[in-house]
Amino acid sequence: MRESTLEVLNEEGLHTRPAHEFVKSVKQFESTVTLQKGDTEVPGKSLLKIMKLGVVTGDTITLRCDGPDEDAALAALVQLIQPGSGT
Amino acid sequence: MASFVERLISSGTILVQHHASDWEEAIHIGGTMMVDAGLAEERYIQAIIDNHRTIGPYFVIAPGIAMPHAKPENGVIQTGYVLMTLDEPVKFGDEENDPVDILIFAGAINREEHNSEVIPQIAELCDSDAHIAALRQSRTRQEMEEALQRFEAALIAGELD
Repeated sequence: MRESTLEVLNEEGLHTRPAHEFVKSVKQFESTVTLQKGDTEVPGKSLLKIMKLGVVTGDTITLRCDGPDEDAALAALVQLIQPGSGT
Repeated sequence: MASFVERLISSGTILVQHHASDWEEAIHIGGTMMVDAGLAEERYIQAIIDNHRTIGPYFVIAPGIAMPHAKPENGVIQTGYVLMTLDEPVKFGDEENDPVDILIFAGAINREEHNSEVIPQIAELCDSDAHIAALRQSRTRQEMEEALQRFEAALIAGELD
């Protein structure tokens, strides 16, 4: 299992369109992905549950990826939430 | 924080079992209700249609449910909603969630209200199968308002998942 706690930097937070992109990306990987804000952890492939979290720019969230491609999954998802970070 | 249900009932922007021949007509009907209720300028309707054409059906958020919206700067006058159910579902081009028979139009006056009120409250409703079924079964505006009030009561009581 790999995890990363990070600040949401993309300027629109994780509302409909960015959340849709996030879910689409999660579904490309085999690993199980969760996203946690505060005490609430939701499945990364559920658009509605992510929308319910109300993630805005500046929030701190934790991403967890567990599975055969967890490294690649985490790298791709971090890139979505912190555009320009990493490579 | 204001509530989705309160705003929807007070603006009276509810249309039950209406007919639309395709997604674009559905957007026009609901968008015009937003304009007539003083929630948005005319250009907001075109912005929703343009978004759908350029970005794709990102606002189809659950099976059978669309949340047409655009950005605050596209002509929102005050935060508000239109709820419309269709007698025959229409396709938006979303493989996973087509066809759509519930449309929840939303417009937020700023990004903060969009993220703190509009998105989480609509997601709560759409994630609740029982309350969505009640909206689908409503045959009159009064039934729809009662279904919405039951959802709101459950939300406040923390009875939703």
